[in-house]
Amino acid sequence: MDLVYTQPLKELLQITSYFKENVVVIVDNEKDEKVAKTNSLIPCYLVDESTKDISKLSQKKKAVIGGSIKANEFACRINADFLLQPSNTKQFFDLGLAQKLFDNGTIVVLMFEELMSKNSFERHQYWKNFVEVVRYCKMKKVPFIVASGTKDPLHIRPRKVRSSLAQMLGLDNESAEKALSIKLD
Amino acid sequence: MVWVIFMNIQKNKKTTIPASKRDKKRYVLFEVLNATLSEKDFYFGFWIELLSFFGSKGLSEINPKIVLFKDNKAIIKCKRGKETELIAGTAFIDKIRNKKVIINPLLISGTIKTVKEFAGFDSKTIVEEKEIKEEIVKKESNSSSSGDKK
Repeated sequence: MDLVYTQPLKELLQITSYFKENVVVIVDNEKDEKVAKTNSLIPCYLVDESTKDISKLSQKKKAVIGGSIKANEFACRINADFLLQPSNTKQFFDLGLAQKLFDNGTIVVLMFEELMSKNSFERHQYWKNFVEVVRYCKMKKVPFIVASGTKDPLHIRPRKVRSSLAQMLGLDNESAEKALSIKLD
Repeated sequence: MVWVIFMNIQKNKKTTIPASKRDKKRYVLFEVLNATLSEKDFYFGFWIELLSFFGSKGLSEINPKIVLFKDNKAIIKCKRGKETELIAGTAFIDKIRNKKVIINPLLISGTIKTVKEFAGFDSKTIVEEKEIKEEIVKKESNSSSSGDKK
């Protein structure tokens, strides 16, 4: 399973079929959702506090971009399926939040594109915080994945690479693979 | 006289470390997607990204060496147990000489032979080698049996 933003469809399909990967596409309108569904991609709505009529999306998959205490708590409140980037250069993740995410069945996602685009100074801060996030996730058994999280299809990374990145962050081989092979309806 | 002979024996002794006592290594096969690169370009892009991510200490622990680059496929040698780090490091390579690339790990192996076969660098596969050996054995047995008859 990989998470990406909406992007040129033809190239996306080519690359994902080459890597044999199920892809969740982050969408923000019904048109994109339809396109994704027709091409056997899994659509997921990007939601934040300003989104109107969240109750309408109750049957659909939801992702929240974290990175602040408010955003992380918002993800818990609406039972989001994915919490993207729960911490950035500052740490906003703790055991209480991990427990709530476990109860809701939320998957914590590191968007690799963001990490890659940063310079090495910011990158080391991201890395340090994500090592801590993985430690908490391991303690509370919250699934953690590394996703490509990109708008450019050529920044999509194969499964082996993402799994080894998760292992470097502190997961063991089994749980890294297990989290990446979660099947979504 | 005895001393001279002893010294000669000492000089002739091999100083290489036996294979069993050398550091264990792993070979990883990568393929480069979306662009055709020369060996120099790949070498350049590979080292710069890995060095910026791991630093010189981290890179020395992984000890990567580009063994072979051919047909957009590269065989890279590293220390055993560090192959995940090597693969993770290659994730950060997104551009080489302004060409967008994806580096896809295909195989991890302990011997270069299997990697070469998987990549299709060697013309003879294990099966073909076996067949050739069997043919040689058959020929030898035939010749020996004909010799016996004479």
